[in-house]
Amino acid sequence: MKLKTIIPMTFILLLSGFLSACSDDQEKTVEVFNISEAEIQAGRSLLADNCSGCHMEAADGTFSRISQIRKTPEGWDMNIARMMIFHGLDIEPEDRRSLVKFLADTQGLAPSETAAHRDVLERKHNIIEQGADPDLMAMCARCHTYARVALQRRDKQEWQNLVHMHLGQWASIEYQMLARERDWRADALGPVSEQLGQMYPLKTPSWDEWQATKWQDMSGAWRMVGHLPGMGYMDGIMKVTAVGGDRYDVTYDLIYSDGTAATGTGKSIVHSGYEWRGAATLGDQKYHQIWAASEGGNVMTGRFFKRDHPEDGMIITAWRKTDNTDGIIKQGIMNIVPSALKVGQETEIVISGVNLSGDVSIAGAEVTLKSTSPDRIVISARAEMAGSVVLAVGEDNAVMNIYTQVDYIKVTPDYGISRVGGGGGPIPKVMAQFEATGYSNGPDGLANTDDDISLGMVPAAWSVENYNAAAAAMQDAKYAGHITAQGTFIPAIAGPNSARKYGTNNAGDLKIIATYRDAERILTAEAHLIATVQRWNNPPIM
Amino acid sequence: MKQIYKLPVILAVFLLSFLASSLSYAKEDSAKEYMIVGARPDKLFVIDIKARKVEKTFTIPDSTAPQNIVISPDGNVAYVVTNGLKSIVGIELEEGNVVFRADLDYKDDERTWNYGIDLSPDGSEIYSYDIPTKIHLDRFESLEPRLSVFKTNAGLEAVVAREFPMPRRIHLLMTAKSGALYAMGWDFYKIDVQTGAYEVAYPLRHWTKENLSQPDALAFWPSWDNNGIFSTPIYYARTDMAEDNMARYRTGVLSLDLETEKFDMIDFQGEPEVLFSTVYHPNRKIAYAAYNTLLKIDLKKAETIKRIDLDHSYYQTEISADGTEVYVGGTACDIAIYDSEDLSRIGEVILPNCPDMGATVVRMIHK
Repeated sequence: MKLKTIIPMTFILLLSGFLSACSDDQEKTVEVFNISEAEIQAGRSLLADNCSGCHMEAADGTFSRISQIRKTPEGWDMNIARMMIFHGLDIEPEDRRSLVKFLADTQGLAPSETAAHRDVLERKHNIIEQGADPDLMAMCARCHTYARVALQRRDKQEWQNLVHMHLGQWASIEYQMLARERDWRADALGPVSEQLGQMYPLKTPSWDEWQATKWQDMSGAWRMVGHLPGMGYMDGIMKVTAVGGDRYDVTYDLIYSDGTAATGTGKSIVHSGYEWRGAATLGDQKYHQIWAASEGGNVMTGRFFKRDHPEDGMIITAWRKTDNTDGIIKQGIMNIVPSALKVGQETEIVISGVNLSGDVSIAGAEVTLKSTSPDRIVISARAEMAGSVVLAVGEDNAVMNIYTQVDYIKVTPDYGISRVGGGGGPIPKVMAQFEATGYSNGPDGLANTDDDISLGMVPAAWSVENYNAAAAAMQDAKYAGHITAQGTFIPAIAGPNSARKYGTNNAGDLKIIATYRDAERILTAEAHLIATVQRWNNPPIM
Repeated sequence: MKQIYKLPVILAVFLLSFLASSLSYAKEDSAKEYMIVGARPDKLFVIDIKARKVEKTFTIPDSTAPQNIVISPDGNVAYVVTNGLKSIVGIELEEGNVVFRADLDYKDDERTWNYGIDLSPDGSEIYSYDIPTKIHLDRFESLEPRLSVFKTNAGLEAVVAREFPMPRRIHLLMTAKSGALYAMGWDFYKIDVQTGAYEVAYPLRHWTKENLSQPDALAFWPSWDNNGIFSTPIYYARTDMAEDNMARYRTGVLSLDLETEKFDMIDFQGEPEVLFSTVYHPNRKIAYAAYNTLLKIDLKKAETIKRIDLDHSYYQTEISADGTEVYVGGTACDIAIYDSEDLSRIGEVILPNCPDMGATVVRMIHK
């Protein structure tokens, strides 16, 4: 597929999503690596076969509405789903996948255009979106995430078409709270469409440049490290074999910090040159991956989560260790567990990385090498003086914090969401995972200042209390669910509960309390949990 | 499918017009009180409320979720908004025959939702507040709302007799005794159903009450069957009070007397409490409000004089014609019945097979 040709800019624009009718750079020539002519033709045929009944094909090969929008792979897939649900589109699953691939490749978003909204794309479920214009939040994000807006590119007229679609599809849109006190329709069609057209226009230099960048093949061996909130760490190898069409067969060989191992296989696809989407089976558990590759294609980051419980997943960093020539591509330390060492305490430390070699040292600490390989070194270390020091492995190094005591702990997330589920209904429970992190007060001796040092996850005991007097009156802590020793809040079942006041469901407003014992001192910290009701509509971009 | 109803409908219309004079809506001593309520997906129930008994169950053809219901002045036909707000279906209440149907998207390439319905005082016309969208081949085009007037004798493929442009965001229609049509939306409008001319009869979004924020009221529930007065909870803030003072957040009862066409507003409590609907006692001295709680409000003193917890949420509050019983309904499959004096629970009606009433309304008739 990686056809390398030199072609005029006008043709590039045509190939890469029919983005614009004209360009100031018509005489400029750039290299195009990413889409073959055959793929363009195949994609156009799919559009003609499946979409042209309603979306008119113009003489220049564009399709009405479709060619005026750019989206993520999930955005395009939701579009096709909507056409199926509301407009009777009948499309074969394989054609749907191919169409998403074609549209995301030719009318996708550049890495820089998705960077600010990856948490939502990665299906982190309790994200509170920050920093967006409050008026746009009220206009749009009262029903869905703001990311769903910000992960699209359209010009003003297309934003207006989207507003008309909303008005024609959802009868209550003008009557909901945050809409009914204003002329929502006039605002949405007027200033808001204008603003969105300026903020998120169809044509951007970022996308033009990304299309002119050579998209990388992802084949090879990858080192992966991951963090399972509240649980620990993962360290593994992923072997990726190209099978054509930016599709890959993948094998996994993972080990978790509690010593358990997992192996498995999966299939992945790369959209838009960097959007890695994978499905994997490890043991009897199905997983999905939503990762982004770096521009050079040698680093990937994202989430690796359970298919049936997207809230339960790891945050991953993967480095390409070798490509098809088996040459080392990237070298260094990827992760150190634990990330801090307590004074006077002999501690086993696992250093994960790529092509690790040479002497291992921690400044001011005694280090005993227990096992070594280019991927993973295990040492035992003991230090007598606190401070931030250098941990070195040959030429590579990282910061190691040495501390005398945990001064305080924090619970993350500080505001979590769980959802009732099960109980004979179709929607599964959504858990909430909490984690306690230890901190040193740092040089200034004061808690919650900029020089405080994170000492990593600490093992805490967990408990649940009513958040306030209203929660106590409703006995939320009694009914809303329970928390495990690992900090996983498991909500109660869905449905009205006749034992509760008003026969209400098992929702609750709760305090999550972590307790950590450091020698004789008992440290506690709290988070807020809204144990709420089901989401009945769970699209890929919430 | 619609064709098969034609013959019964013609007969029914004939019979109804013949019988109209003998079946009176007026609260005569001999008249019996019934509650009419819908339920998902396609049920309409006639309840002998004093006997706590569902007397009749009708099935509404091509129905998904019955919502608003209006009853003909003679008490013989229920006009039900259903089919995802897209149809008005007239069901005669003896045999359940369909005597009227207007599918609001009968116009080419339109999708139209009803957001308010009432009848002319003589029952000859239906007023429907419609929100249309033009469905182009590859896009939607939101159109301006309109008041559609249908003749009740227009049969099963009724088309509009008159239509007029209307302001956006209206959510409730009610006809005064005089025949003037009132519409609640951003403001309360008075509409001339012959010309389509409308004026602000009571400003809400544009009210100029000193030290009060823009109010919020989203009334969907008719409350005037047994008292002749529309009422709804209405929320606003006292902008002259501190933001952390919960008493700043006020609840009032807004009312419109459908005989005198006079509006009134009573501020009866501070501190936020979710209430979906109110109903006046026929004596006009007391009102009741409900959602998770049932409130008894003294309208003269302008204060809540009793509050009880309900066993679950109920959307609509209603009252018997004699003022002795308060009903709460909608939401689930039961109507709960309370003594209007002390709010003690005195009965209930559970709909057969426990269907979901959802956002359907409760209507009271006498026949």
